[in-house]
Amino acid sequence: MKIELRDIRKSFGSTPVIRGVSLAIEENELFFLLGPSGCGKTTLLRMLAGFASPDSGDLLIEGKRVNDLPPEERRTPMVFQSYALWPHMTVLENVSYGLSLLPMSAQEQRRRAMEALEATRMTDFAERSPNQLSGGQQQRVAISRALAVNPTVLLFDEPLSNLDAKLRVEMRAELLEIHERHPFTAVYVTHDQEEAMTMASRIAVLDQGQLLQTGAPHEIYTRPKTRFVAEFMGPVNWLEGRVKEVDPDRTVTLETSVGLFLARPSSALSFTSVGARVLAGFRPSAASLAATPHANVISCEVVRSQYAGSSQHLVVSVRISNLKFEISGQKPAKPDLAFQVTETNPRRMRKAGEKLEISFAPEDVILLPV
Amino acid sequence: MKNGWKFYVGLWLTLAFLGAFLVYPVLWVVGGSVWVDGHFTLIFFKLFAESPLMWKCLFNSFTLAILSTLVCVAISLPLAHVFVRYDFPFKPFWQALLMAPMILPPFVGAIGIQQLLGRFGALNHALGLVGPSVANPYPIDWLGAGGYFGVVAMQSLHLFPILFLNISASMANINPSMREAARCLGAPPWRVFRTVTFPLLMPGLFAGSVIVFVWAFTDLGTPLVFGFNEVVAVQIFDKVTETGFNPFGYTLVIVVLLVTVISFLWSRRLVARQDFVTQGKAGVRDEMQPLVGTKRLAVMGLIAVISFLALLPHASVVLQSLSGKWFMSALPQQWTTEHYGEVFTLPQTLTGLKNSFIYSSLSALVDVFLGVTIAYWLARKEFAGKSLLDALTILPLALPGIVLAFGYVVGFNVPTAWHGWDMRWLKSFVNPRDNPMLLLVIGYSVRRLPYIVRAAYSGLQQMSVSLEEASRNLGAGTVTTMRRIVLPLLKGNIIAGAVLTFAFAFLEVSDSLILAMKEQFYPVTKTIWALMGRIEPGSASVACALGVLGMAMLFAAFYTANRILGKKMGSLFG
Repeated sequence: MKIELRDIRKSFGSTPVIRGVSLAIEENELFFLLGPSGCGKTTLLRMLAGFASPDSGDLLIEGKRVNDLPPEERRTPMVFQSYALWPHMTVLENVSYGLSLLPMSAQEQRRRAMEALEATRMTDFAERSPNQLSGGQQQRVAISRALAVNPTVLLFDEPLSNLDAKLRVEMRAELLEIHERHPFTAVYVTHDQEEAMTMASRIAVLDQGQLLQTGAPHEIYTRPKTRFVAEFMGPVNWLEGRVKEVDPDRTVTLETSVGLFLARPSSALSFTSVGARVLAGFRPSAASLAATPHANVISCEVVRSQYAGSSQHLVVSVRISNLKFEISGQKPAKPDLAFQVTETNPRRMRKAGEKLEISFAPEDVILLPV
Repeated sequence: MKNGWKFYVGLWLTLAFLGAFLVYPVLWVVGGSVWVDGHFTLIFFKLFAESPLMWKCLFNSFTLAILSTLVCVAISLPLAHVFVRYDFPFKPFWQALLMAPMILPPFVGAIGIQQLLGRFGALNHALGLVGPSVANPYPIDWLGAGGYFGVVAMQSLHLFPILFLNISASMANINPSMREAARCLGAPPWRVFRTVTFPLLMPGLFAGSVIVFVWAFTDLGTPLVFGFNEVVAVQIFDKVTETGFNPFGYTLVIVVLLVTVISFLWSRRLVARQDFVTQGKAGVRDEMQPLVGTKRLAVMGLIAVISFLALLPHASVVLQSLSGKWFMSALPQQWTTEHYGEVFTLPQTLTGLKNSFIYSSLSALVDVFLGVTIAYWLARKEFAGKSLLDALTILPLALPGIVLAFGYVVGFNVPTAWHGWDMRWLKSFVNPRDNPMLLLVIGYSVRRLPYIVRAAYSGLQQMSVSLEEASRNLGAGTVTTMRRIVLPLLKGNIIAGAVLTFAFAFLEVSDSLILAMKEQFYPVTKTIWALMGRIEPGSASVACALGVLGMAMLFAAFYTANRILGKKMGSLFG
């Protein structure tokens, strides 16, 4: 285990910002701290760097408690959102800086700095001043500077948020490639769930100073443990229901306001006892616009459609057959329920008023306790 | 990050230093004014109130300061308007020329004004009112009763650039759409100025006026050179040099302190209000209107006349420094450069130059070290007592030179023995009567401290904290980070600040005149003053030559600082 957080707590004045977070991060993981602004993710990262110390709890790096260790004794370089390249030094001087603080010859420093620049393909820019580089290039230098010292852990503080959308996507791939060639342990803070899902080996979702869920991107996306996590990772259509039956193969039959539904969670859930009230959801992208066998099928009508080239986002309305259940987010008096669905590779534009059937597999149903 | 014990040691040392050299002398003066032989008494204030001389001095100081301020407003308002709104040829040149009087020491300029406007000065000769052929025992006294108007003229010419800068900044901050709104509702330009522009200018105008007022109120050098002794500052100066115990010194300093502190607090409130007024600005700048025809001629004429007047005193100083003989004539009768040679050969001037170089260099060093450290703490650290430190660094702005210098003389009057302890070792380097070096160096630095802290602080504010954090987490400690990241990045601000502190110290008047009591410790300004007082022919010219050298150095300093800082220069004036 590379890093361990045990019940970390921290307040600024009387406002608690971290309320008991425990985590374990393995060697060479690209570990993401994901959450909305103000959730405490940056504070946690700054604790790892040593710029803040926890009020209570233990912070362990390579098994050593480092709660109050000053930043310079940790070898946990950070890649900053603003890159923080020193304008009075050349690219090479920036990258050699950390090495110059270690006992080694000037040649050795230069060799290792060039190696680090090599890793980000920035050797040609070694003698340039940071001001002469584009945003993406500065980002690469910042990564080289952190890599050069052979870090225990590399910390990333929203490093791509200053780049334009296209460059950001390119840099994601590039970072992954660098990580593949020179594996390192990284803790990466972002509020961009897409960035987290494309890059992370594991994600920790935080909200209001609390850790909500930790897991691989696929697990967090498809099996969120709370409604907040589910919605933070992407849109979900929710409806409430009651468990009617639970099969030995874990298939759960639900009774909802739009009929009977099947859900098949990947592992047994404690709250799915017969008669229990649950929240069921499916993502717009999980729905297909046709009746599929062995799937949940709903008849509906197109309310609005947005064409986006590779996909088409539809809002559809569903007539409710019984009003026994309250529908979340909807006033009970309203006879219709609206869902969002996404059609990939649309062949034609859907028009408002068009009738269609949507279906989603029981495996794609997200089940949460009410 | 928690602050280490080293930080707290440094903080306590700094607070102790500021306490000893800022708070303690002032408290000593306050105490001395109401505490006699262990008893509280207001007898000094009673005596003060009963003294006609003191009332006269107060009256003179107030009216002088108010008049100077009004003249400054009258000069600056039209100038600022012209510079903010119109475009005309050689604008940067004119701007620089108009700024020049601010950096030229009024102490030196006053010598020139006297030469020009005195009863037997150049102007009366040029007008043919006096001369070898005219026997007129009472020619026109342009300087007014005992130099009154001379002081007003000199102070106004020296101080108007401060107001000019203030008013220009306020004017530029007013969103043009506010004026345009009035225009398109049917108000003619003059009405727009009266009802929109001027009210919005008021806070900035008043804040600038307060600076000018306080400066004029506490100015020692100018009235001293004119021999106009019935003002508060000169009285304080006399009380210090008077032997024995004269309580009026204390009461006068208390009065000055009250006036300046009240003015200072008032101006801070006004500035705070101005921030509010201009808060809504959308970053819209005025379109500069080109000036054409007669309007252009009139404007350029106005600027040329003001610049000419403002530089006249110093031009006259240059003339006198080059004159072999200048007596009873409009222009010198003989020209010579020998006075400049004398500056570098006379033991008196050499001592002055040497002393000033040592004092000024040391005070620049102290200031840079102290200023950068304090600015760093204020900008980057959280600690108890931060607001106290902040307040202490602003305090010198509200403490005029004469107040501090007086406090130093009475507060650091170390006796030879104290409660049976031998104090001679301490007395020999702390008591200004024995050796003023320590107090002069500290006095110069402390008075310049607010400016240098502000310059370093704004530099730090513009510098992202992550630049330092990046260094820390690559393995550099606080000291290494300071040395390799912070200082190199602040280099410009620091060098410029040091240069300006040096120049300020070199031509400082009140501390220098009051604290340096033995000739061997005289700095340049006191040497000039001493030379002026001599009767030998030529000593006034040597004083002028010394003054010209001082001005040349000051110009060089400002030029250097300006080159380093570029447009950030304004932050160093406040």
